[in-house]
Amino acid sequence: MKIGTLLLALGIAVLALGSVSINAHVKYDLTLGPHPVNLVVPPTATGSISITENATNTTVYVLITHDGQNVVKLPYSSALTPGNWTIQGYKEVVVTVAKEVITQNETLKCGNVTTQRVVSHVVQNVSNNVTSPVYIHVEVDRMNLVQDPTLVDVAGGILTALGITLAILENRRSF
Amino acid sequence: MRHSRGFQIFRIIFRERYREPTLELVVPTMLVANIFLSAFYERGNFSLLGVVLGFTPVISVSETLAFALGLRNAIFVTGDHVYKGSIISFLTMPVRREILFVYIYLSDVVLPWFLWLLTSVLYSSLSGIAVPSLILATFTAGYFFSLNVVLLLTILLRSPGVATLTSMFVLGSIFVFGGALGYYQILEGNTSLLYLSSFANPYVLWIADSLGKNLVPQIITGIWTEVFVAVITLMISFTKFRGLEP
Repeated sequence: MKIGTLLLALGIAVLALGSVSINAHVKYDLTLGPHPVNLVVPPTATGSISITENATNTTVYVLITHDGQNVVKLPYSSALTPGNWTIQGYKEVVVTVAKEVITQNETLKCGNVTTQRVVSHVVQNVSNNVTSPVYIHVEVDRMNLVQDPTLVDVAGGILTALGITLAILENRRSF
Repeated sequence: MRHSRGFQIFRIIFRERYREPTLELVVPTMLVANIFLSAFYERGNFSLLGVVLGFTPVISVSETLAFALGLRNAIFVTGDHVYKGSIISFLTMPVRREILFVYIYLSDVVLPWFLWLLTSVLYSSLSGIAVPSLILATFTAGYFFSLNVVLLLTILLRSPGVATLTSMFVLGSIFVFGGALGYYQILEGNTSLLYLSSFANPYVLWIADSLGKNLVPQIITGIWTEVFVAVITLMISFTKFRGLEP
């Protein structure tokens, strides 16, 4: 079993992985609905993300979970940093104390009496629907094939050199 | 350097299957072909769909290559020996038949799978794209299912041509019609019947799962069915191999 040529072939492949990147410009639009949009951006991608709303006279807030949570006002744009991006409509919780008049009939010894009572209870309003359309626009300028191209290039170069040396040595021995 | 007798016999079997430019061509191609994972992941909105597409057989080059290599080993090396009768020279080697079968199985079927797993995990860690281990388990179960069927057909039919046609017909119809059946059941919304049919083609279920349906229990059931069938076919081909040329 000659290992030199195998190492040489592997080295060329690894060298190719380190030095080539996908340069096609990829862009797409996503529409934010009731479900959160989840993007897991790999460390090899470089690009930008921008979130816009359709209507001009409203203010829409969006909750972005990426390196901690933050609520942003639209329009928003940022570089597409690697990691987990979760984008959802901001859930605004409004607590109001509502007072209600309750009419009830009571049966007493002396007959039926109608009493009125004021009851206060807490109402929670959760606005979890985004009412105006929100678009998420993702642009990827460049996608490397590996996280650390220089390291992979160096490893590929070492593998290639080792493979050439071993292949020459092995062929010499077999002559 | 002296090796043990078992290792020497394994080396004879291994060198017959992986003669000079086989590994040199297959391993770098498998490694480089994984760039489709990056490409699909970028086009697939950085979601699970891209990873699933990158790991679907026939789309994924490295999976297809591993399967083709295992098929060639099983049919055109082992099957050819069985057909021509030259398997006798292996059977008379100073090693028990059970051990010989293990050697042949390791170099025929397990090694291409191992190369695929190694290159996929290596590329996944190099590129930082996380691949769910259930996807790897899906292909592993499917690979051993189909190649054990191929090995069984090879030993049963004893002719490379007939074994090729039969295994292509059987596996192709399981994969294509199983996929069509799964697709039909997903369209109907009939997810309970998917437990029965998911073993035939779990990749249709994976695509539906990555588009928003939760079909993971059905996929896991399909994987266990495939593992069960794989173990049964392996045991049958083991007993058939033991009784070969008595």
